[in-house]
Amino acid sequence: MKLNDEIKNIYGIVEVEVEGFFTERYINLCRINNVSVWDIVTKSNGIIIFKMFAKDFKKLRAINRKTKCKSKILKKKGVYFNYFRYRKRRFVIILVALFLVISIISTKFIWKINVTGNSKISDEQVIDVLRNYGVHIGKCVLGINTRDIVKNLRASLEDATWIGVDIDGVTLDVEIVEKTTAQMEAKYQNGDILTSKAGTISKIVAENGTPISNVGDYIEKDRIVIEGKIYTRTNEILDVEAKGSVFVENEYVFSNTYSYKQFNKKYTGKEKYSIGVDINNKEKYINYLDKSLKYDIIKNSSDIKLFGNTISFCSYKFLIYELEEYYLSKEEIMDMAKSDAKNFLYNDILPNCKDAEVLTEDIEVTYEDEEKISLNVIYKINEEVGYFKGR
Amino acid sequence: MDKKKNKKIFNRINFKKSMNNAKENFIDILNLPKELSGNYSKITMIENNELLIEGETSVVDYYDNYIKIKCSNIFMQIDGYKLKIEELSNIELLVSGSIVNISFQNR
Repeated sequence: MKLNDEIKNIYGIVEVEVEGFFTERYINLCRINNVSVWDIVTKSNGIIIFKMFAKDFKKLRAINRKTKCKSKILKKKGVYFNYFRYRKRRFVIILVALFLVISIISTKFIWKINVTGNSKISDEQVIDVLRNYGVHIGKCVLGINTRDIVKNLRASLEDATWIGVDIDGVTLDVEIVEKTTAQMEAKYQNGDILTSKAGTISKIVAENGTPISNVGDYIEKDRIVIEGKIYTRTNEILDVEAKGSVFVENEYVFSNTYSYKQFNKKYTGKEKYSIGVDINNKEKYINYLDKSLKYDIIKNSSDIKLFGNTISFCSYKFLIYELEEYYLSKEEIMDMAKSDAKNFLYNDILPNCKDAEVLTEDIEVTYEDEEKISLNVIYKINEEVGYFKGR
Repeated sequence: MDKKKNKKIFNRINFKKSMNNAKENFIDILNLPKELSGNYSKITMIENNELLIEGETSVVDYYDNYIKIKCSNIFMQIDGYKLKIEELSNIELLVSGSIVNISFQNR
């Protein structure tokens, strides 16, 4: 079975037997008259069999006359002949045609309404709104304007911030983005914007409401910066929901004292081992250690629970070390303080700030003697501190 | 009158020949494949099972074990078993079967 033959089958193929004296001439005339023939086989002397398209069969009449050959069809093959057989069964043809027509028409109706993205708004609610508008299962797609549906849905469903409607074949897809709780609270509340931290105001952006402080003012914590009121020309006061952002500059200080003399652990390489028992976090082990030496302890334990008590069997490994003295220079201490301050900045300060920007970094010595030095690392940070508070 | 007619015919034949020569020369200069001129046939074989002849062809003799084909400049005789013309069109001819011998004869 060749793919080429299957494609040819669609058009309808006939197998023809030709009998006569000049079969070679017959083949050549076929070629000249643009009759495509293939699979030419000689059955016996003067008889050839070949395949050709059914539509070209009428062209053979002239060639037959010229060459005085006789041709007859041996086999008919292809989709064309298969359906030609059922041409007189009108009822079947009508049914097939009817089926095709119905299936084509039915694609022009809505058979499914698919609502996605909703959690508070129920599917039934959406379908009811659509039904009131005139869109329901079984409605013809033609003439439906999705923009109008969206407008209607948005007017009826207040809890939705965005609605998308799309007709995909026979399905009406409704995609809903609902409001968050913060958005819903904010919608119905008048209030002001206050500061969550004290500091010098660096920037005020009032989108709605009236700012009552100026840039450069020092402001305490929990004070109103943008008031949720609008003063009209006729001296009317309108309560509104204050919107905007307030930036303040704050100083954060990291202070620490460092001594010039530092100790470094130097392990001797000697180890000691012991075992012990731990009952309800009370530890007992065989202690034969020399108290004049210093040890690092590595403990391994396995627990057993017995009558509500936890018993742990422990093994101990003691690593003996000596302390080695060394001295740091002032510059080295400064670097150490800077790296400690940076850790403090990234781990403790910046995670608690909103939209923070580090403006300056200063280091100052507060106390210094022969043994130790106290340092302050001061960060100036610009951060957003405004928060909304309803009345 | 007849002499005049004959002269005209000879002139036409000469013109055709000179055009063919020009075509061949042009193909020679550009090192293009010779079959492009249309005066030659291209023969391709796949082992001894398939033989494809591209170019103007016509079948002279056709039997189960022997086919004689007229190419543009030569006659080609194919001997073999279960020989079959699989495709026949204006540009090509495809013979399949087990081919034993091919011989050529100048026209």
